[in-house]
Amino acid sequence: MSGRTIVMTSGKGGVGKTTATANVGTGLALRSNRVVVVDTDIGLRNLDVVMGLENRIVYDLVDVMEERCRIEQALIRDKHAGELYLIAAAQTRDKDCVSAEQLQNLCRRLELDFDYVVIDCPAGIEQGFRNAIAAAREALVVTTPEVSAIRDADRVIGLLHANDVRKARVIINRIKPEMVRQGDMLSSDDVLDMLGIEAVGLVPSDDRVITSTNSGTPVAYDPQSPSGREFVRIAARLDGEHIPMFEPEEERSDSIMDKVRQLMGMNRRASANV
Amino acid sequence: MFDLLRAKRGSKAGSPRQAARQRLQATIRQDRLEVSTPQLSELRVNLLSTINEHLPVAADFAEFGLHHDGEDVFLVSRVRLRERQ
Repeated sequence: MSGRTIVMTSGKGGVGKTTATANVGTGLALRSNRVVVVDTDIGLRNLDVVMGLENRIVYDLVDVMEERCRIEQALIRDKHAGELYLIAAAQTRDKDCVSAEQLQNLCRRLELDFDYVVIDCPAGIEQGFRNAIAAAREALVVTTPEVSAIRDADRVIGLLHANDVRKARVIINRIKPEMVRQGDMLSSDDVLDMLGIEAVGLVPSDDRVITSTNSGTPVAYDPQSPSGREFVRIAARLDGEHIPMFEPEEERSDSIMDKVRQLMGMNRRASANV
Repeated sequence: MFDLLRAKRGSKAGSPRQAARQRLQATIRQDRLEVSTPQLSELRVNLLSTINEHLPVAADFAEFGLHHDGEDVFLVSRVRLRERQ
């Protein structure tokens, strides 16, 4: 068996990359895959917190690299999904203490035991980013429909291609459908036109992400969460299932006209979400 | 009907969405060219020198820049010539 190593990257920080990593990993594990998510953001780890595993860390990525422990000792099993594991980043070291070659070797070894190795890449395009993409064969570029995030995503896509990571797809995060309709936000089509790569998910803006991060339970576990449902669909698409892509719909609207439409049975949401 | 009206508003020129599209297109095209400021400066010097072999150039006034027109990016230069003495 040889698993797939996928790097989650973005260029710009703060677009939801770590949240997407936790949720894509969770979604894949919910489909009975054996999954390990690896936090490579050394010095600024957060994936453990988003997954609610921060109190279980004994050994981290640098301990594995410096052979202070075996890989199995650094694997932290998720509280919810059966076959989801985390390797946490070191918090007290810097990004340069791990080389691209070391990370590549680790991923090749993990691929023997796991269906998916999902790497949470640090923001920026410095050494930490270069290490993370060197280890991956596929990439998911996370962006939001904002000018600065898309510009950085485009730069990252260029670097991925230059480094032979040919299979790169985009996740557009925090889409606000009402703003798109009103002409205040770029649509997913606008973003995809600019970037020129295929989308694997269009994730709506969702307040439940905040509460899920607070509780350390990824939204992918919450069937009521529109973003959680899309992360589950992203996992299915990665797994080869054909699920059509569509612009997210409003989960909730307080406008008078929307309330009138709901009363008249004209609620567009009812038929929109898969 | 409401959605049609909203969609019409969303695609109209001058909306924040359209402004973002135009700015992004220009920025991304320029980024993809990977032309740095030092490269442009070097190009400026070389171009002025080449032009000066054929026409007398007033080197105190020469503009060089990248301009976007639809899908294309143009290198536009505006060079003042001086009279031959």
